[in-house]
Amino acid sequence: MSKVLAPAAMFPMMARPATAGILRTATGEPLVAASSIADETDEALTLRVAGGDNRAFSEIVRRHGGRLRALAMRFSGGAAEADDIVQDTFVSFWKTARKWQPGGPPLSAYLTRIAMNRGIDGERRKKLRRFFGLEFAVDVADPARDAESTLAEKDDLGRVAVLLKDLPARQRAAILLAANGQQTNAEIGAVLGLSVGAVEQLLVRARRTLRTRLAEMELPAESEGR
Amino acid sequence: MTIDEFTRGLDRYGGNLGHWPADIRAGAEALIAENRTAADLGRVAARLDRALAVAVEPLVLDAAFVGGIMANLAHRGGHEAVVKPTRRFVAWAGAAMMMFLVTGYAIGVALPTTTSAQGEDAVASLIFGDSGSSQSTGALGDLL
Repeated sequence: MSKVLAPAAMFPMMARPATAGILRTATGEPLVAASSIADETDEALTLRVAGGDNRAFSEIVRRHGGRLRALAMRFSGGAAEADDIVQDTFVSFWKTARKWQPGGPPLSAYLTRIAMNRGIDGERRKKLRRFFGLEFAVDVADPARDAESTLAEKDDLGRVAVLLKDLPARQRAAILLAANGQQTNAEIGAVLGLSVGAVEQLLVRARRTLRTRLAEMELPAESEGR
Repeated sequence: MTIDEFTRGLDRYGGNLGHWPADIRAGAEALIAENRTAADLGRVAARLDRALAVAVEPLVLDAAFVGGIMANLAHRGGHEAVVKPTRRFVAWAGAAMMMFLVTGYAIGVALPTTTSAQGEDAVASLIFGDSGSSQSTGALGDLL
């Protein structure tokens, strides 16, 4: 049975306390018959968030936060920056939940898009600060990053994490979004606001750079081992 | 398949041959089997893919992190009002812009053109008054 979700204009009418009962569709039937908030779909939770439900928001953070944090960590290269990106992403989501349209892109893609845009914007600001010589004033030393750099040659993950930092922001975003193999180039393009062709080009360049540099890093290690 | 074709395939589809199109996969597998350089390239690409997949595995969120976001939320405010321009607003804005453009064009067409000498006289009279541009040098001398 297909369910028709209420249009965005109906959100204020649907804003009820989480304990008040069940959200309803445009036709009046229950949107979800979940026994607990953890069982609810992203769509139902987002409708609740649009109505100001903190519990639903907290559940969305638990559901998507870990993935976004990993993505932000690899994109920014630092734990502190990653946490800022994730926090900004969820605050932005809280503020704009009413704009999210049920039936459109999934919530995970919506959140990823916000996070990636935050990351790319942050990168741009960082470059600007560096250009004006202000980087020292705002770039606080990040112990996680230092530790990662020190242990970079320890394994492939460490090496790749270091190599990712040198990629241009969009290439880095594209390769990270493609990394789990679950997203098509079209979906990655939708997240980054790029065409499929542009995503393919970014991925080709990123893979070529990473593959070449990983092989270069491997050679000295191999010769030392002999 | 040549090494160049294989390398392009690695860049396009990654190191997991299972993700390659079926029609070129067999060629790639044959090349890896007979060519050590290709095998090395494929091995590095596969390791890269595995490392990237591990890199984006979801991290564990502790309660403090979630609590921090909730606190941040309380600190940084409530929902953003959704402001969308109405059709009437867009119509008025468009009409106003058209009016400005038409007025600007009409003024530009209506104003008489001047020669460069007339222009200099006009500037001089603005600076030194109505006494005329012929006296401007003298007036300037007095000032100095």
